[in-house]
Amino acid sequence: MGVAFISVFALVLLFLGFEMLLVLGVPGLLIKELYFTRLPDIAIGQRILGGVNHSTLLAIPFFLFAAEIMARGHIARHLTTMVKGFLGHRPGGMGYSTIAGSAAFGSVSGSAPATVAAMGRIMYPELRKAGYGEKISLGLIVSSAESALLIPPSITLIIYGWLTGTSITGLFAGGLVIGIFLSLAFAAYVMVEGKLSGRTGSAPMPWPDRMRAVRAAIWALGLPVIILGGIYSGTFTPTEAAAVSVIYAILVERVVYREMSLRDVYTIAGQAAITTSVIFVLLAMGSLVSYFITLAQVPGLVISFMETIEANWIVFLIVVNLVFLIAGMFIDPNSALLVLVPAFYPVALAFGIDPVHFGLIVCLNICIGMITPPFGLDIFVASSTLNKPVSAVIAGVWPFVGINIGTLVVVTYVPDLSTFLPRLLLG
Amino acid sequence: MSAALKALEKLEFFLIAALMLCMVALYATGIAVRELAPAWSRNVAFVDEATRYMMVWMVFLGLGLALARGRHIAMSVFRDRLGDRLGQILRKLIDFVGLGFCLYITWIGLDIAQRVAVTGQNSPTLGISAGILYGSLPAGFALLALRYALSLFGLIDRWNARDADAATLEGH
Amino acid sequence: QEYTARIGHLERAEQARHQGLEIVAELVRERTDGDVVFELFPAGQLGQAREMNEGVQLGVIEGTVSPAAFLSGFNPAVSILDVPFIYPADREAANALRTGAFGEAVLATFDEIGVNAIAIWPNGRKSFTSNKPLDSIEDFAGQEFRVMDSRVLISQFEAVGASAIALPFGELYTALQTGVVDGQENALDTISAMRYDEVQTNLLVSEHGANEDVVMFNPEWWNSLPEDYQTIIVEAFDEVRPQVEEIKEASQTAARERLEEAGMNIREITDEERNTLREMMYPQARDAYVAQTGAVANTIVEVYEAEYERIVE
Ligand code: NA
Ligand code: NA
Repeated sequence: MGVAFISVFALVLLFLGFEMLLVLGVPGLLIKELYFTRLPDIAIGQRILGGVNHSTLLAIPFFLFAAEIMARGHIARHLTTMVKGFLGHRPGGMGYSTIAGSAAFGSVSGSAPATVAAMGRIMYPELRKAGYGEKISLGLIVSSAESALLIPPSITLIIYGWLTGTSITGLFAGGLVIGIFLSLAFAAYVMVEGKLSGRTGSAPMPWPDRMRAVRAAIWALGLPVIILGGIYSGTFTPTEAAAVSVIYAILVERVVYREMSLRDVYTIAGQAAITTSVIFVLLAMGSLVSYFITLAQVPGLVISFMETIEANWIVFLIVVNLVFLIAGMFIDPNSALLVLVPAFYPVALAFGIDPVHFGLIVCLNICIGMITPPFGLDIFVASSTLNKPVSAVIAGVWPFVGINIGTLVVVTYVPDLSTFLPRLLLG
Repeated sequence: MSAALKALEKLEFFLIAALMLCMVALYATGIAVRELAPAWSRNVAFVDEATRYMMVWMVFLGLGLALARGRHIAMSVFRDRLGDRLGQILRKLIDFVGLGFCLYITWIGLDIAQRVAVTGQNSPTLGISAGILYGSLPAGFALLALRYALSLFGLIDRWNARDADAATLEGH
Repeated sequence: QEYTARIGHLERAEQARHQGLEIVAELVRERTDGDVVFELFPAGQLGQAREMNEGVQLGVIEGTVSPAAFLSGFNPAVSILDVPFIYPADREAANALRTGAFGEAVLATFDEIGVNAIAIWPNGRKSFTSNKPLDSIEDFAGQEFRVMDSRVLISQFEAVGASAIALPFGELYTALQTGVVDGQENALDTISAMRYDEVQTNLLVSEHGANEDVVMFNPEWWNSLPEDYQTIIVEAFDEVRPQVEEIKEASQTAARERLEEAGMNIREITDEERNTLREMMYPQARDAYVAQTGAVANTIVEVYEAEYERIVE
């Protein structure tokens, strides 16, 4: 009863236009005062700070900073001109490039918000120039970043593996399949939408021009080479790659292209800091909300509810999907894992569900949680890095949420999709 | 008043930009040392912790400036469609609630920073007080509270703020 | 009257620490006629180790069971437990050290930081894994190992000419896979659960480091308990300690079998190697410990070395 009241209260704050940090924080305080009176107030300070005090989050400000340097300098333009040269004449070319680029960048960065920030900053203007509407451009950028959690390496899958003792190689193999499947589904949508809206490609670029574009992009191409090469050769971790990409971008803009002043670098650093602040305060407040969900032992209540209705495995998976989708509206992905997986996993095993299969259902749910309104972290990242109202991003995201839910149904009820590659690899 | 406010904004911007640049520099130094002189890598073991502390400070120090520049995320559709009078009342309500919330967090933050400082908890690598980590909380939320208060009393217009830096660089 | 303690910790529900806590919770409930209730929150649900330790100190939660390695920032004296080869291979002798004058001295240092530490529980021993050979002690030279942020652990690796690199736990699997670091140290069940066998070839069952858990309560909550309840709780933790060790050892054995099946190249450390490694690592790590801890460290080391001589030598 009280929970329902507080949820409604939060939604009212949301629709009245209160800052999102208040939409999460004020009900958080209310829950504390009403239901956890014995808990000292400092717990709130501890949780707020705890939500952002993680080393693995560092990749986000670093990639934000790097992307902003590239977008305001020459690197991004050279990269996109080259891509356009080769794919711009194909209908859907820029859309497919965004999907593929996000998959590549997301796979190595491992961070969906960082992918939205970096790819969005670079690809959004290009998509618009190529005739894509605002809605589909925003939706595509937000949702194609999901690959970050699905395509290996993925910290989400590693945490799941640790929580359940499932083979991480198996999870990674399954994640690769699901990540590619989802990307193809998005590409199919881009194709259909292009046909319906009558979008055509630009005139094909002649080969000499294409070669010229490649040559012009040579310094810009060094960046993906350094990031991918550095990570796969074991020179640095994804977070470190983020820091290296900032240094490389500044060096190339300053030394090769020579148009960016030190003053510009300073201004961009501050801008990236503000954007980080705007995004991370939501993680801080989300951590407060997830703390109370944990303390109230909500997952246990859901499990006992399912016991009373004697749910079968199909109902169980529907409930799992619903709980993760709802949780994804309020709390950050990794907290959702820690709180929900220990409760659901034994039940999943009891129903004979394959651990790798269950892991991918969970991971896909978490992906969807990041792009579903009203609280989807990736939606907010796109809104703040691209300076678009949240409502515009949400308007664009719906078709992709639909595709995601369709994919989720397939992944949930076709276990072989998740498990055939792991079985091939692990025997 | 507005001169003081401008100076404060400059200071805030300088601090968060400097933190961001230092974080990048520190992290890159850590990798360079590890790759080029692995025997020295114990001397850069502090980088992870130092950078994380700086990130936490940067996040909270940026809150006030973000509000002043109209950058905080909100679903503004309904708010913007309300008429002048009702819209004005709603905006004051948001400022009021925001002010109260931020003052409360500031107060909690001061409390926890002091208490942690007294317990003598130090960070494992740098050996600096964990109170410094928690200091970011009251500092950041006080700056945010200040902006809510200024907006509540009509001393700044955060609703129609355009980010000046974002605008000047758009032309490149 | 009812006394509820929220106890958070980092491990999964299947692991020894949580299993032990469940047994303790049941014993305490029975013996206090349901007056004292332990609510357990595993898997870091209440936050990271640092936050839970701080939470116990400040009364946000009532109790936690924390690896000693996460406590150095709160109570530097506890880092003695991170020193390599602090315990002999023999489990009984180790337990005599843990529960004797040495263990008591370590627990007593928590009083000063406003935490009531009532027991040390064993939580397995660490071993080395690497993608480079670990066939002899000389092989360590030049390898890069991941460590937790800890000066004691860093000096442990330097003592054998290896370099120590601090990386977050969550990034370790990928870092091992891509080769950012060559190796790492953890208990066998962690190595198995994190599936490091998928990204590591060699395992040296060295058991060089003790994973020790400190059981801690918030003093204010503790003092609100009637004295006989306090005794019941302390006794329950002492009583369950051997069971925790049994569960842990069983899971280590199972993990080792799984790692063997997974095709890891496993080698057991010889007694001679153990002695050589102890001679190389112990003094240097102990000195690093004393240097970072100050006066109280000298007393602890004195007690430790006297006890070690009495019990082991
Ligand atoms: Na990834
Ligand atoms: Na969501």
